[in-house]
Amino acid sequence: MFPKTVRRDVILLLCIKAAALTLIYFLFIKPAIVPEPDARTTAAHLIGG
Amino acid sequence: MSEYEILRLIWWALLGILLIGFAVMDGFDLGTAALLPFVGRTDTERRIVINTVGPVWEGNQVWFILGGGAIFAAWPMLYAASFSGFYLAMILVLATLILRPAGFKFRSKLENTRWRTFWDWALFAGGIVPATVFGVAFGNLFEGVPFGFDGDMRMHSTISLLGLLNPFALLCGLVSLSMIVFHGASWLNYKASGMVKMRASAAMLYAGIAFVVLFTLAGMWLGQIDGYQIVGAMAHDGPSNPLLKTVTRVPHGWFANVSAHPALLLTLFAAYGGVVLAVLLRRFPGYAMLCSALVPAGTIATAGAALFPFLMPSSSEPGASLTVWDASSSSLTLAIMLGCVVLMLPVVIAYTTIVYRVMRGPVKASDVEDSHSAY
Amino acid sequence: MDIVELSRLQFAATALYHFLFVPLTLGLSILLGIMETVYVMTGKAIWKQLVQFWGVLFGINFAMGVATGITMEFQFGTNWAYYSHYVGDVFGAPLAIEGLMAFFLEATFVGLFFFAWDRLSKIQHLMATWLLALGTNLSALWILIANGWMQYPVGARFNADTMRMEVTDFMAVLFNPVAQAKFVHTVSAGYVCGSVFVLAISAMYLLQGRYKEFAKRSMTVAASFGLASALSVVVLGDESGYTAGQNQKMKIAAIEAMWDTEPAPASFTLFGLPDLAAHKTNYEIKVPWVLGLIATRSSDQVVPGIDQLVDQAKGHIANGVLAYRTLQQVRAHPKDAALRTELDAHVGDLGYGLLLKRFRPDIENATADDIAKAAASTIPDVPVLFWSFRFMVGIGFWFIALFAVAFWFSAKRQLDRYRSFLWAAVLTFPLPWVAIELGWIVAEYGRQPWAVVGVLPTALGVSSTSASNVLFSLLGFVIFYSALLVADIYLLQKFIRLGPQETIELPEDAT
Repeated sequence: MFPKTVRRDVILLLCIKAAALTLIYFLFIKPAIVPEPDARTTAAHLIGG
Repeated sequence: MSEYEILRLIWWALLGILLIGFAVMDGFDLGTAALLPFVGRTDTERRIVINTVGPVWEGNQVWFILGGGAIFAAWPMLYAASFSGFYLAMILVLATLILRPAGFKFRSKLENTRWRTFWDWALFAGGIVPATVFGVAFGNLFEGVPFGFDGDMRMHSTISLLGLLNPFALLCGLVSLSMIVFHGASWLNYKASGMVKMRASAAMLYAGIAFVVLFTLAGMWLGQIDGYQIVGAMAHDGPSNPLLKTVTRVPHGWFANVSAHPALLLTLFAAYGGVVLAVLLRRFPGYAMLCSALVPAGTIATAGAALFPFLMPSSSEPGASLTVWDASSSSLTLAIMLGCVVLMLPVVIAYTTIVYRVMRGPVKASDVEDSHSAY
Repeated sequence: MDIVELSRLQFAATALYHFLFVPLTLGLSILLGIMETVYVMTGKAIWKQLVQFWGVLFGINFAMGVATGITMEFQFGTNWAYYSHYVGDVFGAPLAIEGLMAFFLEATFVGLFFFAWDRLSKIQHLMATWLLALGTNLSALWILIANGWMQYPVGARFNADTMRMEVTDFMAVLFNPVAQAKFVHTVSAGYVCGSVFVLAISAMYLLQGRYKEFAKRSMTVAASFGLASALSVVVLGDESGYTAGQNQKMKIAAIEAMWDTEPAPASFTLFGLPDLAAHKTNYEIKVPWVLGLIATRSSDQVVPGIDQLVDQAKGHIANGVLAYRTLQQVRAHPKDAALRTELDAHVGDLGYGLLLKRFRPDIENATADDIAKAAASTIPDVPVLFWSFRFMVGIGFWFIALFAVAFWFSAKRQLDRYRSFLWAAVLTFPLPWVAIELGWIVAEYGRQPWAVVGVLPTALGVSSTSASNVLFSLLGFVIFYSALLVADIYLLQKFIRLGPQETIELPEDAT
C-alpha cells in the first residue's frame, strides 16, 4: 500500500520525534519534578494505615 | 523565559491548534450535516450526503472530544469555569451531538420515511447547533462574562443563557455557522456527485459571501468593545492563581496585539484568502478543499491572537479573569502532556491520512444503492 | 433535592447508562477480531459472514457508546466544576490521553471496518478490526487510571498557592495498583458481556433450528473466549479486593458489613442482614478465613471493622481542622516559611477536615460533636454495597460454570445436543449487564462520601450552577436516553430476528 520511499520518510520523522521527546524531557519534565512526599505523611494520609 | 512560561505559551498555541484541528476536521462534517436537508432532496441524494462523511465523521468528532480533554488537562480552571458557567449552552450542544451517532447509524436501517426524515433533521440540528454555539461562546469571551472566585477558588457567577445570547455573541455565532457551512459545502463539492455536488458548489458561493460579510461586521464591532488588559508586570511563571492580578478595560483593546505585531494580520488574510480562493477553485475540488481549510484556521487564529493572553475575561470582576499566565496546570502536567501530544498526534495524523486515502473518490448514487454497508 | 443530590443522580444515571453499551463494545470488538482472524486463516466464507453479522450489531451498539460517552467527557466540567479545578491537574491528563491514544484509534478504524471491505485486502481489513479492538481497550485503560486515582490518590500533593492537587509522580498515577487491577477486571467483564451476548443469541438460533453452522461456530468462539474472560474477572476481582484491603479499608469493611474488627484471619460473610442503626449484622452465615486471605493475603493481618475505622477518622478529621486553619494562615501570609512547614505536617488530612463543611462552613470552630458526625459520614451505604457485591460475585461464578459447560460441549461438538443447556444460555442473556452495573455501584457508591478518597468529599465537588439547571439537564438526559435506548433495542432485536441470511449478503459458497 505504500511506496518504499515513504518508509525512509517515516523513519526520518520518527527520529525527529524521538529527538523532540528527549528535548522535552530534559528541558521541561526533569526541572518540574517535585520531590516525593515522605513515607510518614503518606502513611498518615491513608486511613487504617 | 522560564520553563513554566514557555510551557504555558506552547500550550496556548497547542490549544489553538487543537481547536483549529477540530474546526477543519469536524467542521466539514458538521457543515455537511447542516446542508443535508437542502443539498439532498431525494432519499438517495441524502444518503449520498451522509455517506460522504460516513467513514470519517467519527474520527473527526474525536477532535472535539480531544479539545475538551486537552482543556481539562492543560487549563483545568478554564474547563471548569467555562463548562459550568455556560451550563445550559453546553447541555444544548451535548443534546444535539448525542443525536449524531444514532443519526448516522440508525437512519438508513429502516425503510420508513418518517423515521429517515426525523434523523435527517436530527443530523441537521447536530450540525447547526454546535457550529453556532461555538461562535456564541467565543463572542462572549471577547465581551467578558460575569464570574469570580472566593478564597477557596470556588467560582460564583451570574452567567445566564439569555445573557450569553446577546447581539454581538449571536453575530459571532453566525460567523462560526457560515464558516462551517462553507467548509461543509466545500467537502460536498469534493466528495459528492451529481445534483448534490452542483448544489454544494452553489452553497459555497452563498456561504462564502455570508461569511465574508459577517466576519467583517464582527471585526468592526469588536473594535467597539472594550478590551481587557493586565495592569503592571505580572509573573508569567507564578502559580496559577487568577486573583493575584489587576485588570482594566481599554477602548479598542482587542486590537492591541495586532497593532503591536502587525504580522498577525496574516491570519486575517488566511481567512479571507481561503474563502476567495476556494470559491474561485470550485472546479478543482481538492484544491478548493485545502483553501477552505484555511478559513477556520485563519478565523480561529485571528480570534485567539486578539484575545491573548486572556482565555476567559470576567466582566464583573476583571481581576479574576482567566489568562494564559494564571489558569494553567502545573509545570509537570503541562510538560507531560506536551510529550504525549508530540508522541501521539503525528501517529493520529498518519493513520487518519491512510483512512482518507483508502476511502478516496466521490460518492455516487450507485455506491449508495447497491451497497449493504452504506449508511 | 439539592444540587449535590441532583448532580450525583445525573452522573450516576449517565454513567450507568453509558456502561450499558461499553462492555459489549469491549467484548464484541475482540470477538470480531478473533472471528476475522479465523476467516483470514481458513478462507472460509462463513467466518466472514460471522464478522459482518455480529459487526452490524456491534455498530448499532458502538454508536450508542459514543453518543453517551460524549456526555461523560463534558460532565466533569459542567456539573463538577470545583472537582475539575481541585484535581484537574492530575485527573485531566488521563482523559486527554484517552482521546489522543484510544478515541482516535477506535473512531478512525471503525470507519474502515464498516466501509472498506472492498477497498482493503483481507489482511489489511483484519488489521483495521484489531486496531479498532485495541482502541476500545486502551480507552478503558485510561479512564480506569483516572478512576483508580479517585479511589487511591497517589503521586500528587496539595498546593496551597493554587488551592488544588498537583501531580508529583505521573508514573505512580499510571501504575497505581488499584487502577491496574480495575482495568483488567473491567475489560474482562466486557469480554464476558460480549461472549454471553454471542452465546445467548446463537443458542436461540439453535433452539429455533436456524443458522446451525453459523450459530455453532459463533458459540465455539464465545465459549472459549468467555471461559478465559470469566476466570479472569474473578481472579482480578480478587486482586481488586486485595488492593482495596490495603488502600480502601472502609470500602472493604462496608462491603462486608463488618462493624467490629475480627481477630485475623477475618471470615467472609456469605449472607446476612446488616442493621445500620445498631451497627451489627444479623443472621450471618460466615465462611472462615476467606476475607482475611483476600484482603490481606496473610493469616495474621487484621481487617479493620467499620467502627474502628470511624474512630481512626476522628483523629484524621481533627488533624484536618488543624490543616485547614494553617492553610488559611498560609493564604494570608504566603511568604511565611514556618507556616508552610507547619502546613506540610498536617496537609495529608486536609480532605478529612473538609468533611466538616457539610455540618458547618466555619470548620475551624468544629466541636467534638461535629467531628463525630463527620467521622460517621465516612461510612458508605452498607446494605446496598453488601448485597450488590454478593449478587455480582454470584453471577460471576455462574458465568464460569456456564462457559465451562459450553466449552466442554463445543469441544465434544455437542452444542446443539441438550436443549436445557441452550435455554440456560439464552436466559443468561441479561446477567452480564446486571453484574456489571452492580460492580460500578460497588466501586462508586462504595467510595462515598468521597469524590477522591481522603482528598475531596463529593459534596464539595459540585459546580456553582443552579439546582434548577441541573434538574433540567437531568430530565433532558433521562428523556433523550430513554428514547435512544428504545431505538437501539428495536434495531438490535430486528436484526437478531432477521438473522445473518437477511441482514447481510451471503457469499455464494457459504453454508
